[in-house]
Order: sequence, then C-alpha cells, then structure tokens
Amino acid sequence: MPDEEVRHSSDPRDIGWVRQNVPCQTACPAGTNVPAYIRLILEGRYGASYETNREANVLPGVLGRICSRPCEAACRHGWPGNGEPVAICHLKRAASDLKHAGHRITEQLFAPTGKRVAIVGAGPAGVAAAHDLSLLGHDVTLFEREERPGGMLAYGIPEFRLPRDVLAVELHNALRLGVQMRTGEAIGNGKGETRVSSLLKDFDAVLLTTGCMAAMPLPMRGDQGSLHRDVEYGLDFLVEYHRGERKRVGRRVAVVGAGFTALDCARVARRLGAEEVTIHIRTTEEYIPVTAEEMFEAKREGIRLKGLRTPAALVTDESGRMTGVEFVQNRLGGWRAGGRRQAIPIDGSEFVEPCDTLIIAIGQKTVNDFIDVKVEVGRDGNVLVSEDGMCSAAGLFAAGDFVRGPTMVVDAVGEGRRVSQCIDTWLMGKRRRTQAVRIEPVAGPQRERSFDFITRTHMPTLTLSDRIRDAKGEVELGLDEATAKEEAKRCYLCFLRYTIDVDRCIYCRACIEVAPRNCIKMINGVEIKPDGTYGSLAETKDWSKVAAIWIDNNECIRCGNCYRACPVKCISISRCELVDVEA
Amino acid sequence: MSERHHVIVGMGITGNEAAITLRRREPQSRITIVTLASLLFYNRYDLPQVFRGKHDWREFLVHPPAFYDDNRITVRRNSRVANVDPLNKVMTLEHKEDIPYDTLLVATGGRGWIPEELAEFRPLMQGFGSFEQAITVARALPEGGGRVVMLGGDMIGLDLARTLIDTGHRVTLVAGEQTFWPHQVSAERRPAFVAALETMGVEVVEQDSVGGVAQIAQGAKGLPARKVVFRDGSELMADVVMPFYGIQPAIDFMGRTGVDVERGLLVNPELRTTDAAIWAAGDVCQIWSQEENRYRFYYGWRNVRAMGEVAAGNMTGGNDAFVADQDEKLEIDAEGRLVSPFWEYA
Amino acid sequence: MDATDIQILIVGSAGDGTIAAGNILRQALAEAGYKVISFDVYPPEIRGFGKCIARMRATIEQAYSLKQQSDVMLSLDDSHAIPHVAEVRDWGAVLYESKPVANAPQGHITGHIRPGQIPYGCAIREISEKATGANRSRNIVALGYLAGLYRLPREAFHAIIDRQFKKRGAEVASVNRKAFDEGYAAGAGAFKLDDVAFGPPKPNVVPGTVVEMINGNAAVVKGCLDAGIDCFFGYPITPATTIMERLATEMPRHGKRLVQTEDEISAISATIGAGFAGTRSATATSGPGLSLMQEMLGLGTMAEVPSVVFVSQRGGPSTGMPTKTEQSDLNSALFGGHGDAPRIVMAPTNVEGCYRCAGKAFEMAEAYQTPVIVLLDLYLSNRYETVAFGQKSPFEPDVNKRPRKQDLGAGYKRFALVEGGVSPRAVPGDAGGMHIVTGLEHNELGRPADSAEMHLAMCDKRLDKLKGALVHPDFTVAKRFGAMGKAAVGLLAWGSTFGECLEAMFQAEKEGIDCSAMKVVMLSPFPEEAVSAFMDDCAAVLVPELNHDGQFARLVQGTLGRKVVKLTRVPGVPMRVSDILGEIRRLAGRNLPQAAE
Repeated sequence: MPDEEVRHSSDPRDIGWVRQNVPCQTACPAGTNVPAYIRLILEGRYGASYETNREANVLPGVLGRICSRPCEAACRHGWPGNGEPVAICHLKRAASDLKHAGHRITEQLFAPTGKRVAIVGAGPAGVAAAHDLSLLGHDVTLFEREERPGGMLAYGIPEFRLPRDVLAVELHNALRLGVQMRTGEAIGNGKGETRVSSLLKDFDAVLLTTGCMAAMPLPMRGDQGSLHRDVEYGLDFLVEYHRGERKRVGRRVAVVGAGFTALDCARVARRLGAEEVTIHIRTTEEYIPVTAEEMFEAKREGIRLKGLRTPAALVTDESGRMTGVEFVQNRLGGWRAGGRRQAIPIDGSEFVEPCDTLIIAIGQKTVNDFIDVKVEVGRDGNVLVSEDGMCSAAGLFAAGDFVRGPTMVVDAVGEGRRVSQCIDTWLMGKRRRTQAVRIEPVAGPQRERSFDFITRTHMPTLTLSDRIRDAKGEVELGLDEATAKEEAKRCYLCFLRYTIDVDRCIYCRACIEVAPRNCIKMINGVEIKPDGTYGSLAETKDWSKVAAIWIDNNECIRCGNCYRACPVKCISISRCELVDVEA
Repeated sequence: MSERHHVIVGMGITGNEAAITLRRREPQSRITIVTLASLLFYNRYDLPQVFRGKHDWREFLVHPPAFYDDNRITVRRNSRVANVDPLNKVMTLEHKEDIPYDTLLVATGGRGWIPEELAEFRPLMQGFGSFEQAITVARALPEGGGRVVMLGGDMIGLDLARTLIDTGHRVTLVAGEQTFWPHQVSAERRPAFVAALETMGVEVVEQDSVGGVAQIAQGAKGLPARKVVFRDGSELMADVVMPFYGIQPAIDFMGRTGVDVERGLLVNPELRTTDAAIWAAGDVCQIWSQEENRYRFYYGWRNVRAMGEVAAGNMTGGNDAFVADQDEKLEIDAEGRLVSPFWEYA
Repeated sequence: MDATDIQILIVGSAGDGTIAAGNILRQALAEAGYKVISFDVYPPEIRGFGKCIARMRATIEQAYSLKQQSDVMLSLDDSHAIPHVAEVRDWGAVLYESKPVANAPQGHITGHIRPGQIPYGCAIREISEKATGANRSRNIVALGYLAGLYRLPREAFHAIIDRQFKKRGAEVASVNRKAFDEGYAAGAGAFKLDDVAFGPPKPNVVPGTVVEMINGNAAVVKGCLDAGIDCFFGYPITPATTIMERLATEMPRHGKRLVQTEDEISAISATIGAGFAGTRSATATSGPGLSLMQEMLGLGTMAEVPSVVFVSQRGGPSTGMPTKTEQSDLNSALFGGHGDAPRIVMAPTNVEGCYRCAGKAFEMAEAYQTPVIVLLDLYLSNRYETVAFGQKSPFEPDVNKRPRKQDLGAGYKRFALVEGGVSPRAVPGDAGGMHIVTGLEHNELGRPADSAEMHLAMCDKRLDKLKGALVHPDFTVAKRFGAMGKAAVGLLAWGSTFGECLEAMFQAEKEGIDCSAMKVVMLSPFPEEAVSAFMDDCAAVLVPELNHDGQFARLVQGTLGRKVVKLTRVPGVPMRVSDILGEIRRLAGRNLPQAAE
C-alpha cells in the first residue's frame, strides 16, 4: 500500500497543516522541531535529541537555559482546559545535559564554494549565521570587539543563569568548522579599527550582527547629562560585572525597567549584598515580557516588584549622595506596537522611594555610526533591510537585534539562521535549500492517555541561602533522567496527524465515547476553502444527519484513545514534520 | 428582546449586595452569580465562630436558599471561570460552558497571599478563607487548647487570634511587614501596637530577630503536627501554621480580557473597568482615588458592600462614584488592646 | 442520627453503566445491613441515547415504596439528569462530572442545581482514565466517590465488585476495584456539606433467615425452585424474560428441564402438557403473550390440568411501552378467556410476596387442578428489596389429591363430581389411572358429553373448587393495614401500587387523617367478605391503580355493587405518593364516599 511509505510533500496544504498544528514549532523563531526532540528524550536518545535541536538552533544548551520560550506560550498542553504547557525549554536543556559525555555532533557539509563572508559581532545572531554559512561551504570570518565571543550571552546574562563553560563548548562547536574567529577586533571608524567599507572590498558578503549594546537613557528632572555616581545603566552594569570589574551596590537598590536585563540586574545586586531590591516598572506585572518562572525565582530571592510608576528625579542629601528616587504615579494607557502597554504619568502624583543605588535598565538601542558606507536608516535609528536581509548597500547584510531592536536570544538565533539562507542564495544565485513536509505512517499512538495527567515538572533550584553564598552558582539545577522522561511523556506529539477513513468508518461512535475532549465530532459537512484546504466543520448533534465522524485536529490531543477503541481500525496516524531538503 | 443578563463572579458580601441591588433596580433582568464555593453566601467575618462550636454551615448563611429562588437569582456554585471574551461578551467556565452576559461584575475578592519564599511550604500551612478551611483548622486543633503559629498576621489573622485566645488556644505571631495589614503603622507607633498584641495574649516573635522562616516541617511523632524553623536556627512547634500576609486579588481568569490590571482590576470611581461591560467591586479592584492620585484598594466589609451596591447601580444605568465609608483603622483602646471597625460586622 | 432513610438516584444515558452502578450500590447497601428498596427505569434500546435511572432507598426497617424526593443524586449524564435535579431535597446532594468533554444542550448541571442543594463536582472521567487508562469505569469511579463521601464500608463494595466482575476475569475485577478506590478517595477527601448521614444499620436478628437483595422476578424464580418446579417453557418478553433467564441457569443444576419454545402458544401448551403428566410446570410472559395463551388456558380449565403462568405487565396495548410499568392486564387475566372459565388470579404487592405467590401458585394449581395466573408488573419484577428468607422451603412439595386404590381401574372417574369439586387425580403412569382428557365438555369419565345437565354440573364443579383458594393454608388473600375500626379514608389496592398506598397512609396518619389500607392479593376468586368488611369501616374507599380505566375499581364495584373512588394514572412509572396523599386529603376533607367517575 502506498500509505506505508515515507513521502515528502511540498503541497502548501501539508505545510499549512504543520504550521497550524504544531504550534510550538511555529512559535519558535528558529523553527525547532520540538515534538521530535522531546520524543527522542522519551526514547532515551539524548544525543539524537540534541542533534535535532541543533539543526535549528546551534546553541541548545544555552537556549535550554535562558530562552524566553515563545513555544511554551503556544503549547497545546497549555490551551484552556489542557493544563500547563510542556516544559519544552527544560527538556531542551535535559537533552544537552543528558547526552553522552563523548557525544559526537553531526554536520551536513556542502562542498566549499570559495566565497568569503565577514560577520561583525559574535552574539547569538552572528554565531548562528557563521555556523550555517560555514556548513554551506563559505569561508567565514567573525569579528568581535570583546575578548570573548558570545555577545550578550557572555557579557549580559549572569552566570547563575548561564554557566560559561556550557556557553564556551557550544560556541566552540558552532565555530570550529573553519570559522575564523577574530576577537578583540572592533569594526568601525576609530583609530586602528577596520572599516566596513574595506570589509566589503575584501569579502563577498558582510553581515552586521552587532546587536543593541547602547543603554537607553532615562530622562529625569535636573539631568546633568552625566550619570550620578549612585546610578548605573543596567547593561553596562552587567557587562562590566562580567568583564570582571568589581561592582558595588548600596543596601537598598532600585532597578527601573521591565525586561530580563532589569531582572538580571536585580538578582546580581542581591548577590552583591543588597538587602532590599525593588524593581520599579512603568506598567504592571501583567504586561512585562519576562517568564513567570524567572519572575518567581527573583521574588523568592526577596526581590519585590512595584508597578505603575516612572522615575522623575533623584533625591540627594547635602553630601550629594543619593537617598532616594522620586517617582510619578502612572495609569495605564493604550497599547504600544508589539503588544506592550503604555503608561501615562499622572500630574502631581510624585512620591519618593528611598534607595542607595539606582540601576536603569529600560532598554537598549543600536549604534550604527561605525558604518562608513551609506545605508538607509529607519525612524528608530536601526538600519533598514529588505526581505532578503540586505541593506541598501550591495553585499552588506544585517540581522538580529541590530535590525529589529532588542529582542530575545532565540529571535537572534532564528534571524542568524534565516539571513544565512539569504546570503547563500545571494552568493550562489539560487536557493539551495527549501522546506518540505516529511510524512511517515505511524503504527500506533506512541502515547498513553495516562500521560496527559502528568503534571508539569518543576525545575529544582539551588536553595536560597546557597544562592547568596555562591553568586555564580547556577540557580536551576536541571532535570534528572527520570524526571526528564516523565516530562517528555507530557508532549502531545502534535506532529501526529489522526485521520478517520470515512469509507471504512461504521459510525459506531466508540471513538466519541472514549474521546477526552470534544475532539471527535459528528458533522454533516466540511467547508472546503478555495485552495482546497478544509475549513470549519458543520457539526450536528442530530444522529440522523451525520455525514461523517471527523477528528478535529485542533482539539485533538493525540491521546490515542480513539485509535485504540476503533473496532474496524479506520483511524490512521501519520507523522508530519517540516524538513529542509535540497531545492 | 430578551432580558438583560447580569453576571456576577464571586459570592461574597460584594457579589450578594450587587445581586440584591440589581434585582431591586431591574425586576425583569436575568441575574447569575458564579462562585467557586459550594455554599451559598455566608458571613466570612463570622468564621471565627467555628472555634466557639458553631459547626453547622447553615447557621452561617445570610439568606435562606429560597431567597435566591424568590429573587430569581441563579447561583452557580463549584464553578470556576476559565476565560472571559469581552468581544463577544461570553464567559467560559472551566467545565467548558459558555455563559453570555450583557454586563459582568467581577467580585471575586482576594485570597491569602503567601510570599514566594514560603510557596513551597504551602501544603503544610492552613488558610482561613472559607468555611471549609475554618472547620479544617478547628478540627486540627486539640480540644482544650492547641497552639497556632501565625505567620505575618494581618487584620483578618489578628481577628482570628482574638477568638483563638478567647477559646483557650495559644497563638504565636511571627510579626513582620504585614502584621497590621491593611492598616499602615509607622515605625514609631509599631512597638506600641506590638505591645498591645501582647496585652491581648498574643505571643509575638519579630521576624527580623529570627531571620525569617527557613522551613516549615511536619512535626515528629508524638509532637504537634508542625514545626517552624527560623534562619537563626530557632524553632516553634505548632498544631497549625497559618499564613496571614494580606490578600491578593483573584483575577487569573481575567488574563485574556485586555482589561487593565495592576495588582487588582483597575476601575474608575464608578467601578467600571476599562471594558464598558465589565465592572469590578470589592477586594478585587483598585479604585482610582482622585485625592490620592493613584489606584488603591479599600478593604473592610462596609466598603466592599458599598462597592457591590454602587457597581450594581451603575450597571443598571446609574452613575455614582464609590465613596469609602470605613477605614481599616486600628487603634489601641483604654485597656491597651487593639480595636478596629474592621472587626465589627453587622 | 439512627433513623437512616436515604434515597439515592443515579441518572445516566444508556451505555453509561447507570443500572450496573445502581446494582452494585444497592447490593453493597444490603450487604452493609441496610434494608433497600430499589427500582430502575431504562429505555428499550440497549445502547444509544436513552435515559437510565437507578433509584434506591436505604432504610433501617424495610420500606414499602420509593420516596418522591431523593436525598442524593448522581449524574452520569447531565442532559438526562437535569430534569431530575428538582427531585433532590434541600440540603441533599447532587454529584456530577466536573470536567465534561462537552456540555448538555441545557448547559452544565451546575446551572440547574437549586440553591438549597449541595453540589459535589468530581472529575469522574479523569479519575477513571487515570486509574484504568480508559473512561469505561466512570460509573464505578462515581460510585466510589459517593461511597467515600458517605463513608460507606469499602469492603461491602469490594465484595460486590469482585462477585460482579469475577466472571469476566480477575483482571477486570481488579481494574474496577482500583477505579472504585480512586473514586472513594476523592469522595472521602471532599468536604461534606450536605446533611445526609448513614446511621448504623440494624443487624438481621431473625434466626434461621438469610437476608437477600433480590428483585421481584428473582423472587419468583426462588419461589418456583422452592416449590419444586419440574418444567418451564417460555418465550422471552420484557419484563418477564429474566425469570426464564434465571431459571435457565438454576434448573439444570437441580436436574430440571427448561425449554425455550418458538412462541407463547407453544409455551403454554407445553406447560399444560407437563402439568397433565403430573409435573409442576410453569411459563412466564407479559400482556401480549398472555393474549396468545388465552386459548390454551381455556383447555387448562376445561381439562382441569394444573399450570402456572407468571404475567409481568407492561405499558400496552400491543408493543406499547415495553420498558414501562402498568397494571393494565387485570381484565385480560381475569376475563381474557373464552367460555365460562374461572381461574385463579393472584397479584403480590411486594418482592417477598412474589416469592410467596410463586410457591403458592404451584400448590394451588395442583390442589385445585386449574391454571393459576400470577400477575406481576414491570415495577415489581425489577424492584429490588431486601428480603429475609428462611433456610427451609415453606411450600408443600405435593398436594395432589390422589385417587383411592379402589377407585382406579376400569371406570376410574377422573372428573368425579365430588364435594368441593376437586376430583381425585391420577397422572399418566399410575396403574389403573388411565383416563381421557379433552377440550370437549365431558362427563365424569372424561368422555365427551354435552347434555345441559352435565354442562351445568361441570361448570358448577369448576367454579366451586376454586373457593378453596380463598382459604388455602398459609396464604393471605387480603390484608388490612393501619388503623383498625372506622376510618375516614380506606385505600384498596392491588399489586405493586400497594407500597405507595402504604407510604401515603403513613403520611396521612401523621397528618391526623384516619386512614386505613387493604391489599388484595387474591383477585380471583375474589375475597368478597374481607373487602366488604373493610369497606364497611371506611367512609370513603380510594382505589389507586396504574391503568387508564380503573380495572380493579370496576372489579370491586362489579363484584360487590359498591362505589369506590378511582385514582388512575398511566405515566409508565410508579404512582406518586403525593397523588394518593392528595386524594386522601380531599376525601378526608369531604368525608363522604365519592361516586365513581
């Protein structure tokens, strides 16, 4: 039977099915095949799981710790009535942690092309692009201003969230396919610096991935243009701290800002000995872009969060020391682009919060005055790129936060991956890789209904006292093998597609009786969209009007109950996943 | 045209007062109260009475069941709201039922807040938010006097402490920031307030002096059921450990509504949220205070009852602002004991 | 509280296991020592969408009927349960699925539970799936929840579950035990808020008796076996089928024979044939089957052959309402035959009565050499009660009036016209007992004879001999309950409805109404004297029955020439106690006998 063979489909309906039905993968900026790697964990094949991750994201061990997890927000297990999302991120780390010590990575190499690419900035976007471009056979040179590669990963994220040895190994693996790494070498217009224009001459393509490394200033009353000695910018605070400079904070620390950087600053400050650390935000906790788990850990460490306030001025004593910050009360305004809320200060609502150190972490921006060729710049000061990732100067590409403004690490990795495809296409004059859906018939459900009742595992963490004792000790301890497998069972494996063969169905309703949700429906019609895809289902409760019994893949949680209950075995399961194929 | 459907989430003082007001103002409309509780409206402020032997919940009911039939108020108990869709004005209950509304009043109140550092010990602590919890505590205390360790200690907890001491139990309070919540006590006045507690028979342990709670553990065999271990190594044995750190609005289900939230639902003085069809009242909302230029909570039964009435009035065409008529005042009386109108339920 | 009187209602859709759950629950309650009365309602379809209800009432002393209001309801299907929510009293409990896959068109049951009732939500389906990997044990989980909530003895349920599922393998039994235990834990963990409480049951103190939880049809079977049934011939029909089913299991164990015939005509023919051969034989059917049997029953009367016919009535005529109860075959049983054919017709009023009537029917058939019809109905056939049975059979194994030796041989008069009308009867194989049996009118020898005198004599004989049935040993033909002496209202009833009459009477007494009730078990020959005396005492006589025209009321009026007040209902379910009580109140208020119609 043709049904029993693996086939590849580039039919937009099949690609659309995967996009619609595997929400985690769709949500992942890097397009990670989440169900596949989780399934491999359950099978105990941690190395293979790690490799599956690495196909999309070259830093699984890193992202497994610090990812912002858009996949978990999309996870079907977290949909209303289904419980909590699968701990996708923790499992990613588990694959990395549990793989064999002598694990060998696999790379699929293209023949050398003889093309040379320069990448400026060894942050996550730059590293991802460098890796992918070198796989594609190009010679890559990666320039980095700092002493070590990694960008924000190495200098922005505290070690208690991302141990540097993990980072070092993965960066090394990413770059060791012949990428020439030139650290401590700044690109720009300064003395002794290499200019972008000369890179463009020496290389076939140049990619700028310098990120957003300039702190966003906070306008305050009586601002003298320079920072008060008790005030710091969050990113600078972290970078200096990670460069190894001695940082000091007062007893009471106020952090202003609502992102991961603010949270990291607060937690570092706590480890530097601050007793009262408060994060002040303009809007409210509801609207800040950090994960609840990270927020909870910060709170457990005693960090408090106060909302609806904007700093207005510093309060100082006669000696000039800061004694507090004057805030103005806000109310919530409309929505800003990107789903953030606006905060509107209320006149005359000023109040003072005492504090000794103020850390401002309200955001970062790009710097592009180092580019000596003419490029179009948007209103926000970021360079403009076209669909193919190229700036207005031929051969000059840009990606990551440098283009999009401050985003998450996984966005940067996804960007790096995407732009490397664009650069390759431009360099080779044709698209060499494309996407297809691999469809494989599966013999059984691969899951048990009892898996659906496993509750989300909680990441074991360092005790509170140990966190203060060892400021660099990783807070999250990782999942052990048994826990990881248990958590892996929770994944619905959304890439499994259940279909009832209407011709063989005997309408016995046995599947409906065992269905865990309203996922199998009696219908009297299906909308067929103009492109041939199925639209909404016309449900009926009237037995005499039933035309078919239909599995609603959107509701389906792949428990396998129906498959097991069907007396005539008219339900089939196929595994559908997006793969890269040669064009 | 079918009658308007007013849906109230929450069946405390606020929700009930709102339902009654709605019925009075609109004899025809449909009124539904959705509550997590299994019981009809009872007086939460009376719950300390369980320690005086009042164990039949029927004695706590404010209205007989027939009241709801007579007033055509549908009460859906054991029902958790999963989501509210403000666009289509449909509320979804956790058991997957859609309930359309014309106006929605959120009066879910608050639940006891537990600081994150104590969250892992939650199973070993006992709350006091419902009749069921109150009875559970009463049953856990040995007859003839047991020992209760209260952590934090807010005004709800202090009220309970008064009854417990009165009924022969021993109360140890681990005092901290929230001890007099929601009343604000200045640093200067605090020692006097703590002394007043001791006068009332409460044993007070200052949290700062013991370094805070490090662990709550199961008691050993033959000993009281719980052990509280402090950072400085000292320990307290207890039959029951109860956290009282103030309350936190219960608004999880409002996550996808787009209604403005800080800690509670943000409402204007007329108690309307940022959605024209959704109101909020009681401990769940932060009301804009023109005088103080900020959103603030108002606690106390008189306030939350008044909020229910105001919200219901405004849901049915009124336009009245909420005026606070009771403060969470706490004072020391002539005998050196704490007194508060917060504790005088009528 | 020691006055345990708790009625539990389980409502579900066909396929939910409603009746099965009810069955386990009532058995466990009986096992735990409570007296139980229980009755199920189910649709004619085996699978599908029909409503199933199991109702049971557990008491300390045996109750006579179900209560109108239940104390606890368990919903296994909201769309069917919602209309029954109002049946639960205030402070009673409603148990339901808290995590349904889809909701009833009327919405979730929480929207219908009344303010005075206590809701208990249980994730029945989820617990079942967690415990057993499938949702098929939902009913057992729910049952466990109920048992846990009320702290019913777990062992009683384990015993019943093991007994029930053992035949499907040890694995099935253990899975169901697990499902039950998980449900029990959930129920025991729930915070109990209703005021339903099971007090300690009263132990069975009657020496030499064993308490059994049994339904009317099973009691009939037990009566048949204790009376020494030899042969059974039948053709299945609801609600009588289970009599044959049970006998089919039991009889071969005792070396007895049961044949499923091709139809009811064949069944009664064979029964009469076996009776002629001297065995104790019986058949069982319902109204439509009785119609088919009428012709042969005429032969039974004419040939003076013993036979027993159990008729369990259902909603008619024709296929009618085959799973609903009714008392509408009285006329057919009494008068359905052709010719002047008197028969013995009796109707038990409770499950124990089913046993007694069944056994006594064989005695009477044999003693009076005639067909005996035992009228049951679906309500009684399927109603469970706890009954204490003695260890020894109370029935006479042989009451055949044997011919004297000197009367045998040539000239043996099988139909001798003797005092009382019961001729000595020889059976095939008795030496010298050879005789002719025919459907034709005959003389004492059995030879055809149609003279006016002979026909009159034989008619007299066949009628007269039945009078013995009214004074048959150890058998109550009619019995009065409640206040003796003068009463404002007398309830005169037959069959299954009598239980409701007693309940109504007790309630009326509580209200201060002088009320008395009489059950009439023997319907033909009619116990005129007893009934007449009862009616003399009552200012008004009310006859409640489940048929449209008042068949029993007509029988009383026709036989005694005295007026009674009819109370007829045909809802397909047992009569409501409140309907009877309402009528009692009305009659007591007027205090005058009402003209019928």
